[in-house]
Amino acid sequence: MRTVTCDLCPRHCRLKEGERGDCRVRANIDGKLYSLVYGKACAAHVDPIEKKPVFHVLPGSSSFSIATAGCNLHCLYCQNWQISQRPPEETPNIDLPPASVVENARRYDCRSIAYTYTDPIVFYEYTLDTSRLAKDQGLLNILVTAGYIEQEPLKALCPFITAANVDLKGMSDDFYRRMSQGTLTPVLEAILTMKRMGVHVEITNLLVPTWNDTDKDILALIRWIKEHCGSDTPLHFSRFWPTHELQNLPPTPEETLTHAWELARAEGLSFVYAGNMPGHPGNNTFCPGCGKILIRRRGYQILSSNLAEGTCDACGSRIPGIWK
Amino acid sequence: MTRREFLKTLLTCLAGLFLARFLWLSKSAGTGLREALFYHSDDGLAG
Repeated sequence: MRTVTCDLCPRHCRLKEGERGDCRVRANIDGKLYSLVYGKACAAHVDPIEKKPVFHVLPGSSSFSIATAGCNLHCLYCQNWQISQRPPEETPNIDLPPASVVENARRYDCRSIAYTYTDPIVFYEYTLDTSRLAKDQGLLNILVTAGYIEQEPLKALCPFITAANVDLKGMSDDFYRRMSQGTLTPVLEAILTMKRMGVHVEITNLLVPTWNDTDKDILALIRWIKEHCGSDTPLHFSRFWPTHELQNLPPTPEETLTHAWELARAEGLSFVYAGNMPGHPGNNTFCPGCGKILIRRRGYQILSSNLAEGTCDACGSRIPGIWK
Repeated sequence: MTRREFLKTLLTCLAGLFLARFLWLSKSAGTGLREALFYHSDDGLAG
């Protein structure tokens, strides 16, 4: 009986022959570890890049977005639990090898490919091969992830990734354990590694009533981002909606979202957003130099833009991101 | 339907199923199972 240990994520699942990892998509078969979902997409859609959310990369463009079954976290509030908390046998899959993903992205006029919906960490080999091919063909690669990954595989992937939205769920191990059966430190390390390796990083924090919505929680997150990632790192506060195992909670009140948005701006973060609430002023990008609205949005829709090649057309401030 | 016609129909159906399965397998080639990166076995060999 040959046992293998998966070194992809901090769980380090130790698997006897025939066993699967916690993610449900990696298995020990005859003493070797296999991904069960290479090229087996359970979701493939053309989305606005704003849906990821990534606001500072090619605004208004489309992103060919794929996922497979499985996840290495088990969030009580998961919006996509029907695919993330299922093995591949229980999701409707299509054969979509890397070359087909790139071909489809081109066919549908997408400038980027997003690895999203579940967590691309668990379909690592598929993400790596597809992103390498996509980059060769001039497409951008967007990682939408919880960042629960070991350093070595992350460093091997980063050269092909243009941008990432990392879901920073909270600022304590206790929160991560109770909400997601994970831990905080590997996520923080992943964010820093991505930044160091030149990936454009945006951070999302879902504000869950009674779980992570106190001033102490919010300030800890804001201050860590400011200190370690820089004040020009985009931060998206997102509105929670009752789902999966947390249907007992109300949606995040608008006042809470607005309060977090104002708090982050007052603390000096330059690009703070309020998401899952169309029409909120936090949908827009403001110039940190003169305060003018640079990109006016409603939800995922771009209403107007005052950016000229990445600079404010009023005061000339340079806005971090990839704009063409 | 004569016995001969019945056998002919049956064989045609089986051939169709065989062809469909063959085409499906061709389409699936290269997807699904893939040896993972980043693992190690108890004998110390890295994957």
